[in-house]
Amino acid sequence: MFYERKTKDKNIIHYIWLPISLFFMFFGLLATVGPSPAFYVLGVVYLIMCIMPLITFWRTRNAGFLAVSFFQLMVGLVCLSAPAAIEDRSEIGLIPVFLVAMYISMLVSFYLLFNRKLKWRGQEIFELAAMPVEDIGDNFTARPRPAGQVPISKTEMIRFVDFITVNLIAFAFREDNRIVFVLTLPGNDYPYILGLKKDYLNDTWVAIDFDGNVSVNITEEDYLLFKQDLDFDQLCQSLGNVFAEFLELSKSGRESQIIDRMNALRLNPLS
Amino acid sequence: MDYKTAAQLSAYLSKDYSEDFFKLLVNYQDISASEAASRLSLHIRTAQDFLEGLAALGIVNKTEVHEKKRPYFRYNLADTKISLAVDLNDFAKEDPGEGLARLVREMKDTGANFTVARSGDCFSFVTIWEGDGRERKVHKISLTTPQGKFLFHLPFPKARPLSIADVMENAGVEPDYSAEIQDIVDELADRGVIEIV
Repeated sequence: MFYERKTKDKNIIHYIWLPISLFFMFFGLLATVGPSPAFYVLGVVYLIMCIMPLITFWRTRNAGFLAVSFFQLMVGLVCLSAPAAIEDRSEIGLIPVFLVAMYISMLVSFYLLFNRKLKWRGQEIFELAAMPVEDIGDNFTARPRPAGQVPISKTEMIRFVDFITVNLIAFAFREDNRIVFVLTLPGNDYPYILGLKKDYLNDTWVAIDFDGNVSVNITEEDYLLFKQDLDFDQLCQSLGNVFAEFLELSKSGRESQIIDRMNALRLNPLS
Repeated sequence: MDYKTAAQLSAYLSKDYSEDFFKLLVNYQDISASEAASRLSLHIRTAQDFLEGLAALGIVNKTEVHEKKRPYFRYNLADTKISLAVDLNDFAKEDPGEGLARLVREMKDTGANFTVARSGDCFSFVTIWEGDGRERKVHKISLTTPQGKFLFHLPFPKARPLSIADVMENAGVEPDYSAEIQDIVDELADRGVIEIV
């Protein structure tokens, strides 16, 4: 499918800063204080890091994060076991087991990563929403907008929320009379995952109440993600339509088509 | 009686010395400001302003007299009964049909902040900033539920404007609320938040 990209990619620094920092930290320590402290520090860092995917799994039920967490745990264990084995080869212990587990979990993690199973889909949603929208000049306004109505039962809504959350399409806030889906870009999800952000007022969201009313809010920051000055009214309506369409597909059990539509955009799996 | 006259009259009636003043006026054939002031222990300027105000409202008559000195005024009650009746129907929006046909949408770059109500389907407040620097003032308008629903459905800037009646229909606001909807439209149009096309 050919289409004109309408959103800007995030700066590459956003997703390479962590591995680069770890790389420099490890080799910096290796050069200055020797291999043992370097392996120990890297091991502790990985053990701490493996908590985050676990929390993400707990919040989203996306099992892919278990593989990531397991991979980081194995890296941590390998690093913590390595200094003893470097000094005395007979102390190799469980390192081969850890290494095998690390490589397998790494392959699984990379497979999931490049198949966009671990990617927050905010940008893809924005692309889908922007497709039918014209570039007629900036007319942004910082307020929500109603975007139509979709018939929905509570059971269908629960199923839809589960699907949206597990597939990292949006982060769902459950309220008394509606569900608010907050669109998150990769890297912007941590405040929600860690529970640091208790509300969504300053974010882009799509809300669907139990009567089926859809309302949409797009923040200025996210509006500036688009390369063109898209008609804001049309954009909000289109974003609401995308969710309404997803909801219809979910209701008819065709959730895989939702994923296919987003994958067909072929956005960078890391961005 | 129009509202402004009634408000002015009410202001005079509410002064703490007004009752004593009217007791003098009803019992004297006529009285000058200095006589009333000395009788009520008021400053002559206070008495004069009070009587001039009543004369302007037609409650007392004012007559210029000359008694071998500088001319001055004497005042007497025009009528011993004061009726204060205000018809609030005068405030009802005129020609609501035409008013509801006006095309509206949000003005671009208003800087107004719309606060979403807990229900999520309407606004509860509109906050408008006026002026710059130290002179900047915040004006927060609390909205009724129909007003909040109406504004929630107001077309965005540059979007196709809709008539007030259409926006009300989209918002599910009953026609009974058209007067209060028009009131908020006029208010926000005056403050540059809503554009009437």
